[in-house]
Amino acid sequence: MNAHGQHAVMIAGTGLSCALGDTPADAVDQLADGVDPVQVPMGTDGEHQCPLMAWRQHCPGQADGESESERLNRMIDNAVAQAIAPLRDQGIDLSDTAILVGSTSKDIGVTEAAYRADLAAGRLDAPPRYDSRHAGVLLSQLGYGTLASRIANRFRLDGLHWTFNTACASSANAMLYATRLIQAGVIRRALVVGIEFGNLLSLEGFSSLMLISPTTMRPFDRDRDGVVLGEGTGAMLLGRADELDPAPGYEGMRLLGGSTRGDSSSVTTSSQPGIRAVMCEALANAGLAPGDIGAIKVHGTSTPANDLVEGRALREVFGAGLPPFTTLKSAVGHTLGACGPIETILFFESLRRGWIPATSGFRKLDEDIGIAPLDRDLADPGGAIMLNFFGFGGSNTTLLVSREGVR
Amino acid sequence: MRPVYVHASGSYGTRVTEAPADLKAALREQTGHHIRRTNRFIDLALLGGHRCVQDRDLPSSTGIYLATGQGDAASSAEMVRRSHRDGITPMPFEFINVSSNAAGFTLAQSLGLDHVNLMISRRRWSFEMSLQLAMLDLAASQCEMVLLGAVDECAMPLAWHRERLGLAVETAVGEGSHWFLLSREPAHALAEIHPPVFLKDRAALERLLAEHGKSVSHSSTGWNLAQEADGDNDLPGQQLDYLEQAGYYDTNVGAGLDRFLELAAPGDRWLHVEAEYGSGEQAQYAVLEVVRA
Repeated sequence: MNAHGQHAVMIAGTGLSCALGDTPADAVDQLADGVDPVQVPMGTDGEHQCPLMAWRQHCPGQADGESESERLNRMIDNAVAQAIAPLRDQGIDLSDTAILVGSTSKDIGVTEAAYRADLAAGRLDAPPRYDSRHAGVLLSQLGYGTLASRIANRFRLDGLHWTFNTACASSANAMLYATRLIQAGVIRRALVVGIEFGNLLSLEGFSSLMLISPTTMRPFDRDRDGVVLGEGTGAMLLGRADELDPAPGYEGMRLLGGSTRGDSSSVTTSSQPGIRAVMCEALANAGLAPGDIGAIKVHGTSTPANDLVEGRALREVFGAGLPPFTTLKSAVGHTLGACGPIETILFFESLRRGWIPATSGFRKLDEDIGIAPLDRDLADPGGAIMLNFFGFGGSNTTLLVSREGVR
Repeated sequence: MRPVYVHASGSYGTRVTEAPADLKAALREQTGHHIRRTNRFIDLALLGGHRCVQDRDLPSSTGIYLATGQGDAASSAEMVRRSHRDGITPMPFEFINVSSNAAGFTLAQSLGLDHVNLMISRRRWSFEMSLQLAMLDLAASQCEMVLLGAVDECAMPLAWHRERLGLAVETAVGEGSHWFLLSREPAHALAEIHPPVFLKDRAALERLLAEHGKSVSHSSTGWNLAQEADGDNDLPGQQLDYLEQAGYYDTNVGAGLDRFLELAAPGDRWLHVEAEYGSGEQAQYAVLEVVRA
């Protein structure tokens, strides 16, 4: 327990299914080799294709004959199975494990596919429906807790479950509240799962807001012009440090919690004061000072407005002592509500190997921001880690992680 | 966790038998403003939230915790249908309105709040689960006060709505937005809410009822439990049936709490029990306990 009588929280397992690979190790192998930023594919005429095509170029592959629901379930099952394997292999009973899911679009992509099939078959007035062959639940596309219930049933996890819907901070908030619930002794273990599955509604929505890059992601770069969407699932099994063995390489790592704050200044763009406030509150909650932070994973969406305010807020909080920072969105795509565990796992897996990945796609300093992310991999500088996640609806979340024995 | 205290409540709730009411006029009357470009789910949240807050000055560290089963199902379904059937892409504000927590954002903006703002969902128990997180944050002083809402919308047509929810065709459906202002401060409170209790099986529920049943003045079953043949057997006290009046929606427990606050005398104690089904199809139970001040 810490000085506040809270249980220490650690990571017992991780799992991943994303554009970079279907395990954390495979994905970080890709990062280690250096990855180009995700980009809208080129057509044969040498011109970039429609940006709405980009997402599908960066999805985990679809097996022959596999339906959309099968692909979604495979993606989720793969990540969750990896995350719980270390404890299951030790024979630990996980039946009381809580589940905290974060997602923005849930399984809308599956419903869209089923609806397209209805339309193709001439059922023009059919309601959007779920592919019930696999989930057994009709029309569950918009039932927010469906994915958590399915994970509970599939893996026989009968603990409590919550689904967080706070836009691109959804699964980061799932991580934050899993940590708080374990710290307070309300639950002993939590499976945190971030899920985002490609769908036309999200693509069209982001496109309507002119947030999709017509070319490629260049976070914090002077020429940045938007996001390229990604999909994937990240899963983390969290538990009490006095009860479980940490995942290999995660020894000494402790989730400290952090802060989540709404920012009602704009529904689409977090404000500089809002981002500054959430970082400061997270530091205060964790009992850390800016100087304790060794590295930062920024949100870094590659949109002109968001990178500007995040960069300026970082300068305000850290001043001349700004630690090295990077973003992973340009490597894996913006996985929206799933980016909490996905980016955290990619970042931590890199740290396990002793380095912090560069920001793929960054080339030129933006003088208006005045700071630059890592443009090449950096040896782990030690210290605590700050993780930023921001979303529509003024959802700002900062998480903090300490590392004992790493200075 | 310790109990928290209800300092205000406000609601909108109705059975729905035909096209649901346009809420803009009621919202304008409540807030004095014409809220533009919001969808009905957001309007529902705003209407209930403002009826709860009225003209109170809330501390800046007031968090918003919005519990829902279906969220913005109506708007999302319509956008999917229009996009795929008609090739009509969403307008920017339409997409923003279905972006996760737009309802909580709009409520926060209208109340001038910049603090915790969460939307928590699951089919049943989303109110109980959100209450648990709110209590956690109140106990840790992350929030001085909490606006806890239970919001679900009735999507049209009703036949599709019932099918989506897996309800029989004759099931009465409704919609509602029930909000409760909570703090750790007992002075001048309307009621005390105990931390929700989650039980693994019927035997655990019966043990709890045996221990606490005598002090209970009113009890209610949630929708799932009411469907069981012996669902309300053994529940102590006077039965407080809110389901008939509210109709089905995932968060109609909010209507039950409203009804208890309205009917109860000081010292009355209400027990609400709702079932959910775990991986083995075995029912689990959430128990909510509220004492009228």
